[in-house]
Amino acid sequence: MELALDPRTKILGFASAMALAFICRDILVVGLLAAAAAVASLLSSERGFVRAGLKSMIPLLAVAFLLWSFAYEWSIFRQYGGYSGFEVGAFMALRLFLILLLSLNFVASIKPSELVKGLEGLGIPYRAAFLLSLTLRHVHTIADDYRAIKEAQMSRGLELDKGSLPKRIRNYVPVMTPLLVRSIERAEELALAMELKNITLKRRRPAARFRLVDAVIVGALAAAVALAALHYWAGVL
Amino acid sequence: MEALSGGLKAIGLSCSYDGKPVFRNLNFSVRPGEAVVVIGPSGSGKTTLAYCLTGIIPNRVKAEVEGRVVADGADILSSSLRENVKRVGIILQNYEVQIFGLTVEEDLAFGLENLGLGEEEVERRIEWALDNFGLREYRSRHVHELSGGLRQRLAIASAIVTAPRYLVMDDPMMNLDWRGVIKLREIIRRLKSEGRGLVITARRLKGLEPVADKIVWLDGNGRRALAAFRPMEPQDLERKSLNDSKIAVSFENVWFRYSKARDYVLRDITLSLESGRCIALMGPNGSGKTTLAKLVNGLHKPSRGRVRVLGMDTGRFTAAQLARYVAFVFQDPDKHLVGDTVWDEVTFGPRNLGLGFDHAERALEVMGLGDRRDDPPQSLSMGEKIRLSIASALATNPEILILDEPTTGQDEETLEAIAGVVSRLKTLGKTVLMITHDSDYALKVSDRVVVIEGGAIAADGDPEEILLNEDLVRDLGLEPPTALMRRAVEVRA
Repeated sequence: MELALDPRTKILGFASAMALAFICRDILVVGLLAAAAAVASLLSSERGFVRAGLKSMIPLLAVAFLLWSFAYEWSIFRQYGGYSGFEVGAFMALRLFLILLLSLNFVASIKPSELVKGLEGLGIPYRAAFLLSLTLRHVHTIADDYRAIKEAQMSRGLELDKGSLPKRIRNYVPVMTPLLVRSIERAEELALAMELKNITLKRRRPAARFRLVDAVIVGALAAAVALAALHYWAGVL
Repeated sequence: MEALSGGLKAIGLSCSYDGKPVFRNLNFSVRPGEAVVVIGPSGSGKTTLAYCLTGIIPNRVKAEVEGRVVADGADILSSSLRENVKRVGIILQNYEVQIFGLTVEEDLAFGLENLGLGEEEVERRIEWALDNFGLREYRSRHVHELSGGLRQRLAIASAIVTAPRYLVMDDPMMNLDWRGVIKLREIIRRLKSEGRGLVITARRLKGLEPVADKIVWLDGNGRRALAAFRPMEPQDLERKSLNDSKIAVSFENVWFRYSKARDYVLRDITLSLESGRCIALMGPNGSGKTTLAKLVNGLHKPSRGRVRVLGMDTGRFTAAQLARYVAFVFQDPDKHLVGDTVWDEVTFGPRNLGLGFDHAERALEVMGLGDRRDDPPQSLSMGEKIRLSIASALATNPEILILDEPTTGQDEETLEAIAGVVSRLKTLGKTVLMITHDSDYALKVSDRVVVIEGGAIAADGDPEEILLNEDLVRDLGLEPPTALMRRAVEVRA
């Protein structure tokens, strides 16, 4: 079943889940959140993408666990929380896991066009949202250009990954120069195309209405964030 | 009244940049429902003319213009761009930049919303465009997932929904294969039947004959003449092949797919390319031609099977190492011009590989760029840039030369020069692999044609046998050679 949420719900949901991940200081609560996020990602149609993303992050999680377990003694964050040793390591690794899981889920579940619409719906000026959508639209073209230029220069005998670090950086000059030139040329063409489209940078079609399911989800998450903030910061409850 | 003054007209139109004339005293008109095709080689002023007809010159690009451009009685050259686009739309050569929406629907809506139309009218026109341009099934698809041909169709649709009476298309056939040309022709026919007037620029007329009502030729007399082709002497180039076998490149049951993809781009290719021959690699866009060529120079490694170049297994060498033996001339020269001068550019390969500059010197002469060695490459015309990239490839004295669509946007002189280089390389026992859509050129230059379709070899043999076989050409979606088209006309007559 495909649950079609308003893009604003996705953005607000992501923001509040992230807030929870940072506010909560109980390993149990963070564990529960991670479990919930994991179930959500298993149900989504993009689980392959999320799994692949997490797999590449395993070394990072391991390093986080070890660092927090053994180096926490000298950390400037020492005044926070009541854990020590492996407990801190486990908590921090779990929290990092949660943050990664949430971010991957968010990226997998929101299309670029939805992100732009959602931000616009949340009151971001159209000018800024348009700029973001323009960037998202051209990021693929520039990535393609980069690949094509790199291949062309390698075909002319350019060894990119050879020599000392400064040498390797210099190796990229024949790749970055044409990329820069092309990007500037494209920017000029883009400016012309914008004029041809009579761009006004004024508000366009009104966004879709918030539905009940959106309101429930946003409301529940907002309540959870408020609760957590009261509990951990104000010591209430 | 409108009938009398109707039409898009160029009256005594001349244009020059910094005193250098591009074209002089052009006179033609397009009526609603007509298509005028403007033919000229690269650098002949096709884009300049397109810019004049839409008022981009002199509004946005500075140039000296004389004469008038009139659309339905309104003077284009003295009106603002904002006013002009309502009358005359344009599809730029790089139509990619004209697509602003992230999805097909968003892009169609974009121009309409800028016009400040009501929601219902916007919806109505989007529905119309989705149906009329065959875009309905792609409605919520992301633009970057579409093929080049579909993106072009979207750009045309988005320009048309804002309802200009005239549309200028700047070289829309540039990157289309023959099937793409046929689809474009259908769109042109439809636009004409709706009563829109079209100006279409192209390098050649082929493919547009059935829809062209008038033809304007731009001869580009401002271009500099190409130096006479001077063949390299055989003794100048000592042979350096690793063994004496006649096979330069061999594919042994090669399968290839991109690292994260599920589907194979090439399936079970077994192919040998002999030395001393020119092999034309043909087939529709996206069939795997360029991928196959990249396997030859080691940019791609086979997922299964083996590719050998002069006996070397490409899996064991980097593309940079193989560059000593295989040179690759890519389609778009702007992608690899790095040097401050033409000379820097042509010696880039030899410097990377630690070779001398003798061949670089000669290659510049051969490609007619000997007198431009101190000029910056960006100041060259497109045709000259392509010649420069071929010269850069020859500068490393390769055993195998790969040309990716060398005929795109070329004038006859450059095509002759390329043909001369190919025949010279053949007599030196070198191999040329040429990717092309141009059947006439393949018939003229190549000794063998290999057709790839859907990642597999669909035909392989004598150029005449394949390209003059009407059924085969139609089934494989290849561009029919002129000889074949003439024959079809005679049969009909």
